[in-house]
Amino acid sequence: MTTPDQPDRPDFDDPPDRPGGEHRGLREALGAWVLGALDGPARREVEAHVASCPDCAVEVGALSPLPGLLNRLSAEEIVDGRLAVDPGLADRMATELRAVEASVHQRLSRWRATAMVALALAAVAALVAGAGLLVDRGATAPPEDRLVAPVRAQVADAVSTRGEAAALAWEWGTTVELDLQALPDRDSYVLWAVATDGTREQAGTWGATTGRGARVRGASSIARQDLDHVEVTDADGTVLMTFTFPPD
Amino acid sequence: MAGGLRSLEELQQEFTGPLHAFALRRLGDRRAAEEVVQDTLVRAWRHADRFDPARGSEAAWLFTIAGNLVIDRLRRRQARPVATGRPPDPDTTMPLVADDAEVDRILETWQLAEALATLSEEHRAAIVLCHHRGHSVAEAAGVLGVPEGTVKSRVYYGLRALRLRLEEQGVMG
Ligand SMILES: [Zn+2]
Repeated sequence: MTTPDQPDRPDFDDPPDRPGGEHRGLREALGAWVLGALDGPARREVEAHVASCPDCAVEVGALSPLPGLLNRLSAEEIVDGRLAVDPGLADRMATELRAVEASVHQRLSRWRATAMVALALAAVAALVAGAGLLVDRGATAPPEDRLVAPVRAQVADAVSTRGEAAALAWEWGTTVELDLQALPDRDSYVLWAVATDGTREQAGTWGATTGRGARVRGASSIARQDLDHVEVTDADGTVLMTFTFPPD
Repeated sequence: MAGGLRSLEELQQEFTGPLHAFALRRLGDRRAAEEVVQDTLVRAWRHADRFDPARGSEAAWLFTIAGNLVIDRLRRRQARPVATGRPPDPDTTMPLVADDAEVDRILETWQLAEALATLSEEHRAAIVLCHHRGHSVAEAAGVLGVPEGTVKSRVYYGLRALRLRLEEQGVMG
C-alpha cells in the first residue's frame, strides 16, 4: 500500500505574507524537525517559524509523540515490515484451526455417545446378571497408556463401593474411565477431574442405575500430567469417593 | 467447552497478528512464530474453562500462554539440559506477561508496526534514516540520492500518514 506523497497540500497553502512556497517548505520541514534531523540554520529557521505560527505549532504537537513510539521498533522491523502479518498467515491459521476445532467436537460427541452406550450396557448387564459389568479393555486404548487408581471412599455409605478409575492421556487432555460397583444410593453422580493447581473440571455425569454399578467414560481438557485426582460427587457436590493416580 | 472465552475463530481473527509479532520478535523465526500462534490459540481454546476474567483479560491470558511457549522454545534451542527435571508445562509456569498494562503495550507496538506497513517504502526509508540512523536531512539525501526537499517531504508526509493510521486504530487520540 502506498500513501500519496502530498495528500493534504490545500491545508496549508501559502498565506499572503509567505508567498512563493516558503510556508509550504517550512511546513514540510516540521517532520524532520521533530525527528531532530535538521542542521543548525534550518533548525533555527523552523523554530522561529513555529514560535510565530499557531497552525504549525498545532502540527508539531500532533507529530511530537511519534519519535517516542518509533523507538519501540528497530530500523529493520520498520523497513522490511516483518511484524505486519501477511494475509496468507491468517488464512492458513483459520484453515488449520477449523480442523482442530472440528476434530475436538467430533471426539467430544464420540465420548458422549460412548458414555451413554456404556451406561445403557451397564444397566442391561446389571439387570441380566444382577451384579458385575462387562469390561472390554481392548476396545479403548493401549494398556501402557492407562494409569489406574483404586476407589477411596469419602462418605460412610461408599465404603462398600468397589472398582477403579483409569486415566488415559491424549494430546488435548485426559479421558477418565470409571468401573464401579455398589455405589452409594444417589439420584445422580458427577465425575470431576482435579488438577494439581486445584482447577476442577466436570468430566461427566450419570444417573442411578438399577444394579448400583456404573461404567462411565468422561473427558477433561486437563493434561494427564497435571491431573491430581478424580472424584465422584452427588448432585449437591458432596464428595463420595476419590481416585488418586500414581505420578505420570 | 469454550467457557467465558470467545470462539477459536474470533480469537484467531483478533490475535493472530499481535501474537505473531510478539513471538517473531522473541524468536526471530517466522515459521516458529506461526507455530507459537497456533499452539497458543489451540491451548487457550482447549483450556477455555481455566480462563478466569477476574484474574486478567483474555489478551493477557493469551500472551501468557504465548510467552511460555516462546520460553519453552528458546530453552530447547539452548541445547543444554534444564537444571532439574523436565521443562515445566507451558500452561502452569509463571506468566511472562505480568499485567494488562504490558499487554496494552504489546498490542500498541503491533498496531504501530501495522500502521508503518501501510506507508510507502520511500516514506519508511526516510523516517528510519532520519530517526533510527540519526542522519540529518542532508545525509539522508546523500544516501537516497534525492534532493533534501524530497527527504523533508517524505518524512513529513510519512509521519502525517502514520499519525492518521494510529488515530484510526485508536492508538492516538
Ligand atoms: Zn506555519
